[in-house]
Amino acid sequence: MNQVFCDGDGEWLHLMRFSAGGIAFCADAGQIESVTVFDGADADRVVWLRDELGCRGAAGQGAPVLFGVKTGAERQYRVVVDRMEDFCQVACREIRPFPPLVERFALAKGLWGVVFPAGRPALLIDFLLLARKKRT
Amino acid sequence: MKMTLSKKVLALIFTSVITTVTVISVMSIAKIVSRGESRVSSLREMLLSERKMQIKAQVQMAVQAMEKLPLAEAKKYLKLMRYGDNGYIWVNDFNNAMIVHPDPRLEGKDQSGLRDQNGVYIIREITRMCRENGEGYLNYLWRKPGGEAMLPKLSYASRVPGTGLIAGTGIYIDDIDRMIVKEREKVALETRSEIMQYVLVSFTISCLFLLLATVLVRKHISNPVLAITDAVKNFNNDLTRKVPVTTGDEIGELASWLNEHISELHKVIWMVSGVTENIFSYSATISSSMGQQSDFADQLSCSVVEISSTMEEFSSTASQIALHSQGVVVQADKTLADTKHGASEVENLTFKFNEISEDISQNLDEIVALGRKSKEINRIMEIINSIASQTKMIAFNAALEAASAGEAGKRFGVVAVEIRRLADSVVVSTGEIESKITEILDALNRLVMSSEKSSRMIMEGQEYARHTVALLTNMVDGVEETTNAAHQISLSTQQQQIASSQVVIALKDIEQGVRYSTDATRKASSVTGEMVLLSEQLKSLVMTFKLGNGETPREPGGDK
Repeated sequence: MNQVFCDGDGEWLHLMRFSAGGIAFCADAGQIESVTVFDGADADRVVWLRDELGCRGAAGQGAPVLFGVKTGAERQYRVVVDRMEDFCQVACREIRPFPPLVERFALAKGLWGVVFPAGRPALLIDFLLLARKKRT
Repeated sequence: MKMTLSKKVLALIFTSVITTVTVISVMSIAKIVSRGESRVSSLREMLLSERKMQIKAQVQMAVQAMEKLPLAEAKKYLKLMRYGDNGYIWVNDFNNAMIVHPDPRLEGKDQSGLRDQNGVYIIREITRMCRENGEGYLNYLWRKPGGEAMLPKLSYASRVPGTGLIAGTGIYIDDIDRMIVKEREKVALETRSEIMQYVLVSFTISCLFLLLATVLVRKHISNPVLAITDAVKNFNNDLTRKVPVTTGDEIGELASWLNEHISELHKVIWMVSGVTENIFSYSATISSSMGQQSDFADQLSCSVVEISSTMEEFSSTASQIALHSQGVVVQADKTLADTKHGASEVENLTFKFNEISEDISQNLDEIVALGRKSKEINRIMEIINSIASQTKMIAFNAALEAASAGEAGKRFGVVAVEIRRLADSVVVSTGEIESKITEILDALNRLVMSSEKSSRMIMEGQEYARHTVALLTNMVDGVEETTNAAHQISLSTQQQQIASSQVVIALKDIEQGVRYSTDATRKASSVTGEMVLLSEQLKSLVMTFKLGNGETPREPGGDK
């Protein structure tokens, strides 16, 4: 069980499902403060997730979406994803961690494991971890 | 056998003399013989007359006895009456019944059937002569008593006046024939002697006459003729030679006339020489011309044959053309009717094209209007999509808020989820509508393009149809002209066929005439060639004559 997101195995986790660089991701809805359509304003102050993770796949259809992440600091961490997919619930026990061999490298990118909302796999990303690594 | 003229004259003289002597001799000998025969005949008549007088005298004695004596005594007397060696008297009546005869078996019997071996009925004939003439003599053959041979016998009978009886007697005259034979032998001896004398004298006179004739013939005929013959024999075409005139008779006249004719011949040969030269020249010219004419006639004959053959082929071709042109006329009539029908159909087609074009134009306008409306719908759908997207974002934010609110925001989260789902549904629906509208627009575009293409094609079809109508109209005129021309061609080809047939017949006549002309020309050429040869021969012959004083006939090719 992941201690970051869940306090126990029976606890449910609210996740935002989205895609960036052709890869499906899920993020804890509690870390996200706002969801808006990215209209290109303040482009130098946002982070494109696909560029951050090095994903070079196709963006797909739909307008890019701007996530406002709750970091507790004055300055909001703003992440742009290619497309917003869904809002779902996943039990904490259903989170699948990475193998130990690749776990260190995955955590370095803010990735905790793999979930299967609606039966489809998606990478579980920690925006707060990613925001801290960005600052450091 | 060759005989000289003197021999012929002598033969004629000999023949005449011998014939004359022979005729005279034959006539004289015949006269001598006739005289002998006359002598023998006179002797026979004399002897026969004596016998007739003898038997007539005996019968007259018997008649007198029967006239003077009673009949019975007369019968006895006559029965016993004999004269000569075995002469007797018989009496019969006019019924041929024997009254008195030395053989008593015959008395009282009918002797009308008595006849000799030559068929002479003796008693019947005697009775007939006495009935008609009162008397008569009869010769017949009868067997002499004591012999077998049938000998000539002469009987005489006379009617006994006032009795109705006939008295007659007969005498054998075979002794007269014996005497005549002897007399004939004697006469023959005398005649031979006389003839011998006559012939001898005649022969002697004839020989003397012939000897004299031979001498005269040689002197006056043979020798002058030999002189003329010698001159003519050695004539050798020498027209200066003269025949000697030795006599003043016909032979001398013949020699004179020969000299005269030689002189005339001299002139004639001189003239013939010139004429021959001209004939030779003209013959050569004619021969050359005839040769050229013969060659030309051959070429003409070949040309006529070739023309005739060509015209026959032309006639055959004209027949085929006439036949085919008739077929062309039929096809042209059919084509004219079809073309008129086709023009009418194309005009109808043009009207249909116009109607279709108008319909397509209207449809195209409506389709364009429909496409415009579809685009308006698309813009509406974009607005709806924008609203749905904003609604979805609001729903996401609401869901975040609900998740932040925990249990209190759970129901709000459900509402947010539903709103987001509705927004998704709207987006999906608008996407589908957009897809459908896009499909409709694509279809409309394709339909517009297709309609425009169809409209262009119909316009092109209309243009083609108009062209086709114009072409068909022109074609109808052309086909009518073609049909008329085909009729004219058919008539012309038929006339041409007839004309070519007549030309073929005329060419065959010409060919025949040219053939005849060629043959005639060849014959004429041959004849002229022979004329050249003959004129050359004639010149050669003329050159053989000698005209004297150094004159000779002119050479061929000399001055005319």
